[in-house]
Amino acid sequence: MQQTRIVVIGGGATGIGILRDLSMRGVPAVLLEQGGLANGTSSRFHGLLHSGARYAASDLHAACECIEENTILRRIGRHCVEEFEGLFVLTREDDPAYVAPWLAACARAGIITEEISVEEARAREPALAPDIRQVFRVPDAGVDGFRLVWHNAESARRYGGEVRTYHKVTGIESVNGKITGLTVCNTLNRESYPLACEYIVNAAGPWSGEIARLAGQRVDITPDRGTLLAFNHRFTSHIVNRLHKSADGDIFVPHGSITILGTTSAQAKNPADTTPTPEEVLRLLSLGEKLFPDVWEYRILRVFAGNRPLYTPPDHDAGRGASRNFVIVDHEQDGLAGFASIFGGKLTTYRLMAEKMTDLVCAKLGVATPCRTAGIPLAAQPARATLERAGRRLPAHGARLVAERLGDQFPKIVNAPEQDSGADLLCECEMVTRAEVELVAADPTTHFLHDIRFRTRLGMGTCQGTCCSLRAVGVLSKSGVAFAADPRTALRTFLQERWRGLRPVLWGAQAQKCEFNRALYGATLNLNGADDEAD
Amino acid sequence: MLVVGSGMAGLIAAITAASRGKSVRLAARGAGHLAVGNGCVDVLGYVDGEIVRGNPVDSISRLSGDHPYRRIGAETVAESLAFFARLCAENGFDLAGGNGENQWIPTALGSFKPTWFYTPAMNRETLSMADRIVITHMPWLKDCHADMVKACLARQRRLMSKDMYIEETAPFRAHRNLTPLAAARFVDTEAGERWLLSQLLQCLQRSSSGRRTAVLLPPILGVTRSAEIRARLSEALDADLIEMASPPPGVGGLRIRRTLLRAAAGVGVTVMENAHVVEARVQGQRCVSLVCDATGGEREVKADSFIIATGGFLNGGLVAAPGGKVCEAIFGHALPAPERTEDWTMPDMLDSQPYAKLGVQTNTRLNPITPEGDALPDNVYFAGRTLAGYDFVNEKSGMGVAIATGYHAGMNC
Amino acid sequence: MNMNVRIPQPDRCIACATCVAVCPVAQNCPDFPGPRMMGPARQRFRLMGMGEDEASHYCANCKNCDIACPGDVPVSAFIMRAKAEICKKNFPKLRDWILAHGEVLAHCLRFIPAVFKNFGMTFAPARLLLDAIGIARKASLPNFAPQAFRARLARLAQPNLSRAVVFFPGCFVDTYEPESGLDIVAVLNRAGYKVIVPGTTDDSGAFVCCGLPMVANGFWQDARDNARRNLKTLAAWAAKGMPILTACPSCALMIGKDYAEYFPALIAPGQSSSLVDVCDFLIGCVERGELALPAAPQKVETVFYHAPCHSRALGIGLPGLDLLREIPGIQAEYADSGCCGISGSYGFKKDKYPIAMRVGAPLFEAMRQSGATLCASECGTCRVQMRHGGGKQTVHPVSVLRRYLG
Repeated sequence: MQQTRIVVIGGGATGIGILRDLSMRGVPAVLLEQGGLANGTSSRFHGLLHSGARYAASDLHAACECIEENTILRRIGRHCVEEFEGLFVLTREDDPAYVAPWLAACARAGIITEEISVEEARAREPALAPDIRQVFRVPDAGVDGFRLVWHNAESARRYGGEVRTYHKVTGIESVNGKITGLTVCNTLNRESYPLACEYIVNAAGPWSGEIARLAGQRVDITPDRGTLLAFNHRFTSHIVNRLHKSADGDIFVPHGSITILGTTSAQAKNPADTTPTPEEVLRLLSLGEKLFPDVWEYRILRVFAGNRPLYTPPDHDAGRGASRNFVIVDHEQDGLAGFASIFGGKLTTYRLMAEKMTDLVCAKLGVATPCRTAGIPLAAQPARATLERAGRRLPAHGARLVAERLGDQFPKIVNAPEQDSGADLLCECEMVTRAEVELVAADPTTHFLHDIRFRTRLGMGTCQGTCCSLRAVGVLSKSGVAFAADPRTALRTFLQERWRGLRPVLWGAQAQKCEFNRALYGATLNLNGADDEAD
Repeated sequence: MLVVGSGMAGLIAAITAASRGKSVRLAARGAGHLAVGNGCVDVLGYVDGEIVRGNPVDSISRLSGDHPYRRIGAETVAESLAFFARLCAENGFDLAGGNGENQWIPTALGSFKPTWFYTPAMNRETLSMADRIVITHMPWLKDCHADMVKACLARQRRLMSKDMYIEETAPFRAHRNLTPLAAARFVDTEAGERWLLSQLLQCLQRSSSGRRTAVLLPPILGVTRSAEIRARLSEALDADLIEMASPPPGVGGLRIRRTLLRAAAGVGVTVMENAHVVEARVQGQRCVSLVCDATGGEREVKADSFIIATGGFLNGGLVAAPGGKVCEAIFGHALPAPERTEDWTMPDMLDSQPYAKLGVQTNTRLNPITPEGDALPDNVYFAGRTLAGYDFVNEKSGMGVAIATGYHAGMNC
Repeated sequence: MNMNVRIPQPDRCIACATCVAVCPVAQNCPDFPGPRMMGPARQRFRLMGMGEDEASHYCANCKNCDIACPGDVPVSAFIMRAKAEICKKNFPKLRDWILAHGEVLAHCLRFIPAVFKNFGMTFAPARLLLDAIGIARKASLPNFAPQAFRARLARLAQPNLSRAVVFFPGCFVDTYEPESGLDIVAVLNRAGYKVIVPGTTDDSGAFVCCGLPMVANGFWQDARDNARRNLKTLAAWAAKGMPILTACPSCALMIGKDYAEYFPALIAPGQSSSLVDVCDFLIGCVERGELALPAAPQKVETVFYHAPCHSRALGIGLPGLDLLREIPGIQAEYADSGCCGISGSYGFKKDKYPIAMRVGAPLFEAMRQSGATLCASECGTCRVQMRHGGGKQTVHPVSVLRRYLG
């Protein structure tokens, strides 16, 4: 029987952070993820690396954690963090009385704020509403959730950690109130196998309630759906927040080549319920226009939703009222040793959450090695020569993008032989080359086209997969990647996911784009039609 | 008269009307859908997801009553297709099909698509009759991958027993942005044709055999001289050359567009390019003029009658706004559409989509009518994707509707 | 609710690749990534602060991308702005300055007799010198006219006519081909219009170069300065209700469309900065009965007509061709062979000359195939290129008309 010391359940930022921490402390661990890495909440948020200013007035403790972790992540995750600033903007509709206490709270939390004139703010961000009243700079930043998880995973693997994606936990076994192992189903080949371990960490985000139930335990968690819009271009180079008590539709975050508007808050039916509604979209836009009046006219790439795993003890509010703090539950108190759950919190504090959780596990196992995750970067900066070499193969700006995406694996594609450099651009919108797709496809955690998308941004730009997905499947057929053996299914699954994000926003340029996409795959390539001679 | 739109519907409408002796101007904004198409004419491939057998015109009766084919009648559809075939023949465009039943043309995905007219280089029968099939792969040509094609072809009943080989040619150029169009233009030159011949000779030698051979290629057999290039190469190689339909830029579509533009010029159609028609001036039941947003301001173009073939959402003939609203772009008529955005689409992208059937409703002469059935300006005719009632993606009927309605409008105006 | 959703740049691009299919440079120069990549696709990265791609210098600004785009994406404008950014950062080439500032140069050299200037353009050692700074030795540069159009017009006694039009001559006619300008003046006089060229026939402020060559070579600020001056002059004449004509489609496009695209802040609300194409205006004269055309002569002459890309981009059809077709005894043959390749000063550049010649090859071939001995086109540099590549006499369509009017 397979065995390990620790099993971490959940391939989001928290789980992968715990795996990295455990691995760096030399504790053998396996991470199990039911889907692809970062396919849950860690990729379904606005991409804001909080300065803490958003929580300062309501939760000083959370604000302090944010600013500390913000500073650490800028240091260790330079590939994943975009160092723009945040602006807090008091619009016509916001209460000026909120400003003074907010400023005081920020100061207490150690968050540096600086007021700039409305003129200066509008000179920096010309698309901002002309009738805003006050603007403050804060040290917010952007973070790429996909990339953060990937780079953590790679780092963890270098320290000996193991990641198994598309492995679903179907049973948790214990003897005499002590964990002995679990049953895992490989969802790709539907084979189940037992895995023995000493300790299980439940970091399954919105699914952690389900996991706890498998162990006969209970956690007070409510999946809370937040809907977000991704726009085709960057119309702001700052993160723009409304200066008021946190509410819906009040954050714009530039994210690579796009801009994201978030969010809403509504109790989800279940952890997998991530289908946004057209009403949510219209609501977001009508709220967003207070900051950016032209928001109705910007082209929407897609709408998506994620579920916050909110901690909701029986006598507390769900939704906006619920705490954004994280919670660690040691189930030994409830009679099950070797099992702990972690949930709540924010992506910004994922590292801290991982540190606390790992501290607990290590204490139980008697491991005394201290946490080192705050000091060691996730990936090394690329050498200048490597960047220059890449610049000759890629369009001028492509090299930097690829270097940041691939982290430590970047030199591999740059040092490929000249005669087969793989520099053909499969995705022109996000500058993804064949070499990059082949590299990611060869990773043991890659099993679907969307795993490649998460890691490379293939299909996430202007064309939303219209041009690149056919090319990617073609390339993968050639390199013998298993999931491309049935190109039609691979393509349909991928395009279908893109379509899901466009259905609620079918107007303007989105309607134009969808007609083009359908014309290509339906009318020209007949991806869907019955074939008179197919087997 | 004035035709707006230079896609298939607009061009056919203009040519039809001009052939009847009308003085025709054509206002074009953009190069039209043909520039992204594969050059084949699909008339009707599926009705409710079922494969259409026999002559697709005979299946028109199975379509719903508000389908453009039903509006203008199967007879007109048949007549328009005959007109189109004649037009191509007269202008030296090599077109096959148009009899028996739909032909299935190979695509760059390795699938087959039912169409009525096609270029002879896309005939599946040729594949079926071959003993061995050589699928060429050209490095750097990122839109066509032989391995993917082979994986799909091997699932075809009549092809699975064939010997299939993948043969790699040399790249005609190493560049990160290479399209079949670039290759086709190279092959159009004498040097390019020679190069392709030598490459294919090597490919065939490697998998040598005296049997009947079919060579599957991306659409690279030239743009301006494709028929002669194909004939010469086939003879020199003693093999049938077959092109696959591939993503844009549409090599096949550009071939046919070139032919139609020449045909239009030949019958005296004058083309105003880059003319964005923004408004219609209507007096009572008649449209007096259309207003273009041209350089230096508005430009009013008067005519006795108008054919609007501005396309659907893709080419700007239809405009959708947030909250489930849609209108026709020039006249600004609000069009009937489901109130709830949820009802605009079905979960599967390639299923028949309600939003894809949104468009202008017309009478049998293709004059626009209100949802209540009252006629709007009676000297205005709509043709092509601007029309309501069909999902060309699901039915595979885009080019057929464009030709039939363009022809009908051109005959009526 | 606004149904005509105004979708901002670069959101209107849906990556349909139509512009790539029609771009004459991309067809003939593999190093040019094509209009979509350099224009709207690149724009998303520009907004990320990722700087410019040097390859934008390959763009000839012929605007075939704009013409073909189904979504009204201002593709060429993105690339022109990119050129300007590059020009701001890197010191531009002397060659590019010279080609961008033909008007200034001509002004500086005005006291040197044309014979000497033209000798310099043909004299082998002088050409070597030009070659050294990047002007193609094989290119046939236009000859300086002995006297500029404006100087000749100032001395011309126009008949006393009640109606008048304003004429924007453009640098090419003014410096190199005053005869075309004088032909236009003669025909307009014949139609009953006195021709006013501000600063020449009167002492109001003169028009300056429209700025297109400056934009095409990256000198954005210089173009903006010229635009400001021209807009002021245009507004003054427009206020008098006077039609303002031009014979150059590139000037018409720059002033009528690109000023608003490039320098929106300069356009006063409600101001229209339009120039009327002279052929378009003359067709109107014929229709209104102001200009009587002679009866058809015995012998029918074929004239081979090439539509400049910028004429096609105007969105007004092909008035040059229509005008030729109005002339009794003229059989106009429409080339329909795409871009001639010259694109203003593009084809004179040493590194672009071969590209320009490849782009123009189908047109040159069509000229050779044609039985016509006379060719026509509205654009001055198109005419230079047609003479150079096709080897036939080429004039402005109005010059053809003048011959027939006698």
